[in-house]
Amino acid sequence: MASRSDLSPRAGRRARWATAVILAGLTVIVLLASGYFFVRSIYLEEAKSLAESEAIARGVAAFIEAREEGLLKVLQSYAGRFRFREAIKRRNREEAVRHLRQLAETFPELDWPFLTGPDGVLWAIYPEAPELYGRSFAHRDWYRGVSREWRSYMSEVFPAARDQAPVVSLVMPIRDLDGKVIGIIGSAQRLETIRQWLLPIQVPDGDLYVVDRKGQLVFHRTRFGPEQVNDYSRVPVVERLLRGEEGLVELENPVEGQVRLSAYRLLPALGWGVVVHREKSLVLQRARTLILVSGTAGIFLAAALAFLGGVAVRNQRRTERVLVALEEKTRELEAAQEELVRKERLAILGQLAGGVSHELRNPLGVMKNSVYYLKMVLPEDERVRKHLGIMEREVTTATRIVTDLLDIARTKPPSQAPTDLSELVREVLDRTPLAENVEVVARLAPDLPPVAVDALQVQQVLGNLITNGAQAMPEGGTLTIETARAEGGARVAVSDTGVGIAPENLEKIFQPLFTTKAKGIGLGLAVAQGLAEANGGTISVESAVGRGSRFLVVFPQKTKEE
Amino acid sequence: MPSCLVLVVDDDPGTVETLTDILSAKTYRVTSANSGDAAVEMVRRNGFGAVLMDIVMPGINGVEALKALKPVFPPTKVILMTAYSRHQLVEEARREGVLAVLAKPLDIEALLPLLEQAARG
Repeated sequence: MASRSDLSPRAGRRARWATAVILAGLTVIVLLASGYFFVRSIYLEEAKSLAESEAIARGVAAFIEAREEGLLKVLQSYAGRFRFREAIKRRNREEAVRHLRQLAETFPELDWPFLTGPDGVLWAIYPEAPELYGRSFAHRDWYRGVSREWRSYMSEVFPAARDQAPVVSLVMPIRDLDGKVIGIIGSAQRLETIRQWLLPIQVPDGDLYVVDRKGQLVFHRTRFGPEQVNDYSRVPVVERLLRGEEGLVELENPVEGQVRLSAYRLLPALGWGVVVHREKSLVLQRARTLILVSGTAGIFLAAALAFLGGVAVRNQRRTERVLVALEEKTRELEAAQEELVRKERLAILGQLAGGVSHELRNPLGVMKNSVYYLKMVLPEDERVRKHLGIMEREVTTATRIVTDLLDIARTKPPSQAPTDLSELVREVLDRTPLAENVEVVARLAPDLPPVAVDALQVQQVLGNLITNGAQAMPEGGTLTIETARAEGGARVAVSDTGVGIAPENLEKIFQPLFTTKAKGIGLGLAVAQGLAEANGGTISVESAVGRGSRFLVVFPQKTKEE
Repeated sequence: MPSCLVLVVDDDPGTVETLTDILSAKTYRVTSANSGDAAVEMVRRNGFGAVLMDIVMPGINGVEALKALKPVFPPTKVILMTAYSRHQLVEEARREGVLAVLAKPLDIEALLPLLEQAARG
């Protein structure tokens, strides 16, 4: 029985719950791991992007500074030339222009090299532009820049005086051997030139631009030329540059309307700033793809786990069903085995009874004959008659036991006829002697449907139950016999107020040879059951120890159609 | 009316003895035999009006004896006794014209009217 309780539905439910909890746990772990993975990968992707941007910004800054420094060195080397300096001192335009021309032809990136006096008045330029000679450029940013401390200076962006093309000017003072400033050499630098330097630099998922010290665009891949808006001073990242800051930032660009991951660096020598920006959505595209792929994989994994779990649960349920069916079959088998044992017992009993009854019926018959004879011939002596009566009664009892044995061995096929159950009870009560301390209460329904039974056999059933009930009350009590309609027939209940039947004996009381009485061989109830069933009826019992038992026999109104 | 000749046949001496005494007391003339063969021989010789015979006996059984008796002395009425409640021999005996088949232990009060019937022929 212990093994059966392991297979109980409650154990099955527990196992299903455990499976569900494990599955839920696994799913949560997968989701948490995925979530952590997502956040981590976004963070890493951003950090990686910013690091790359910063490296590009550094590289671009170093590149521009190196180029401009190179050009500055060229200017320096020319400014240091003796003959050139002499020409400047003497304001020998022809000689000076010759030098400027050589400069321009050797270094095409230096557009319109020019010379002014320390006061900013132009006196030489190549290609020559006589209309500009004598014009003062002291108002220009480049002049203010270079004259502030008389050091080389890169100007802000401005439209060239000659053709209005946006340019910057790289200017430096020219000193004589005493260190006195004798003039300024400069070169306009078209933004187009710088543009050609920087165009080949590609920034994945983004771009770069360079601003001057006022936030005007020096380089932008798509915004160039005089017609373009080139004031970026209001762009937040440029504002930071203009405040002299460097760093990394995630900001929305109000001009482009994009959230950008930007690295911004200063070019101290030029007073410029470079911004390398990448569009966040593009940067995270890969991370998103990763997220999508891993998330899908996670969901598939969870689904696969759930599926496997479901299969496991279904298998478990199927196993449970099989086990339940197996249990059912086992019970049936046990019942069949019990029935077989009962039949086997009956068969053995039958053989025994057949042999023994013949052997006993002869001596019983002889005794009965003798008693009959003695009753016939002996004088009317009361004591003799009493003892002969005792002998006759005991012979009758012994004969009934032998008859029961034979009935057990071979129940006669019932000869069924419509019978009134109440009437049968009345007849049985009339001829069954009961102890004086047993009070009989008969509640017999007057209008029972007739049941199709063998009256003699059912009388024996009732007689056995009544005798049994009376014997269960050695101290006396009430024996109640009730008849009533039952579904499809009629029933009779025999109740006593006797000792009752212990629960462990309740299943065995109908077995032949089972008895709890000191007297009796345990056939009465077995016979009663055998005969009741032979007549299409059922017999059942309920009992409480110390309070009594109640036997219920139900007979059908009709026999089964044959 | 009694004084009819009755033959009691049983292999059990107690049965024979008690039945002989009872029937004698009831004024029947009773003779006994302890086997079927003996019974047939006695009927052949004496022509009993009634035979009260056990079915299960050593040698030929009661029904075989019944069959043997009929040609020997057709008027004889035979009452068979058996300790078995149901026996195929009982059916055979009924077919052979037995007067009655009684169960052991005998109900004497049921036997007597049958014997009277046999005596009357």
